[in-house]
Amino acid sequence: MQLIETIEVGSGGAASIEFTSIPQDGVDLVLVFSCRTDNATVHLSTYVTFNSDTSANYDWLFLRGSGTSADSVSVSGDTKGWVGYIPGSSSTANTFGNTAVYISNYTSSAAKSFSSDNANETNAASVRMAIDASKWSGTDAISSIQLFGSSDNFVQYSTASLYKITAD
Amino acid sequence: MATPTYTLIDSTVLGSSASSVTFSSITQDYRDLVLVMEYFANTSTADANVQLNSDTSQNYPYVVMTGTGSSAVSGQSTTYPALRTGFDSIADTTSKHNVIMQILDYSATDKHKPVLVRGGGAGTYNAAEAWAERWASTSAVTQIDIKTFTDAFAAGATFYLYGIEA
Repeated sequence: MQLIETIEVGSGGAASIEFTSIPQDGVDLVLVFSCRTDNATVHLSTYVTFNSDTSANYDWLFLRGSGTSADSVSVSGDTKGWVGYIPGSSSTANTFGNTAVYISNYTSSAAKSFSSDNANETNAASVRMAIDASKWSGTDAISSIQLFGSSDNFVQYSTASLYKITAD
Repeated sequence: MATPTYTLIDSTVLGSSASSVTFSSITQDYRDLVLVMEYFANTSTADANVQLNSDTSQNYPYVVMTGTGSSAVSGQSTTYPALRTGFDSIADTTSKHNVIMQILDYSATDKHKPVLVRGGGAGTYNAAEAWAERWASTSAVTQIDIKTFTDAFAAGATFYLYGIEA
């Protein structure tokens, strides 16, 4: 597994984190991020799009635990793929939500499956953890990834790293 | 501490449908194994079951939690003849089942082998699953057989076996 790039959000925050010109010599991609939002929430959903595709080409579902119960939600034909929760300004200070996304066969000419596991634990009563399974119907090789929250900005010190797994 | 890396040990991409895939003579040079599968059913329902060292006995206890998109459920068994990874229930080449299986300390001869699996698929078939499993054997893992007990894997299914360095 080789690091392609790490992006850290600077002062002032950022609405999104984008990886572009992704090398096409790997088998799979792994996106790992540790982020927080300035939105006044404790659990903000994060999403990805591939190749800037914002058409209704994403299906996803997650299994979610809150510390007291579990449930599952699915969405078909979304314009983005869900990948996890991050804390916001109403959460414990200095806490970040952490997610690893695994994208299989990202250069194939078929639809892409991807999955993630996520933890949004903030030393508070309201917590989340989740796993998800997703599909992007796009048939182009993935050359860029956009990561963003459902509203507002990632705060400073949020980080995202993109790795490739090769057949070497 | 060295950075854990994925090193490809072996791979198979199916050119035609098949009910099993085997990785044999697995090198003992790594700490853990990671098996990454992406597959879809050939005609109706394909389940990927993983047997180690040709052990077909009921030596693979598991606990699983599953999200279906509308409910969350959990189950377990102490008597299953393979490591489970879930189903792809519909022959639909756009709705693949994706599985990442970690086999920890696979070359150890003094412990049973813990196995962690995350898998699922979205679209026609909906499931997000996590499995905690165990191969009740102290033998080092030298062979992996991936089998469908029903149907078959369709052409285009991919199977990659990686070694994780200590």
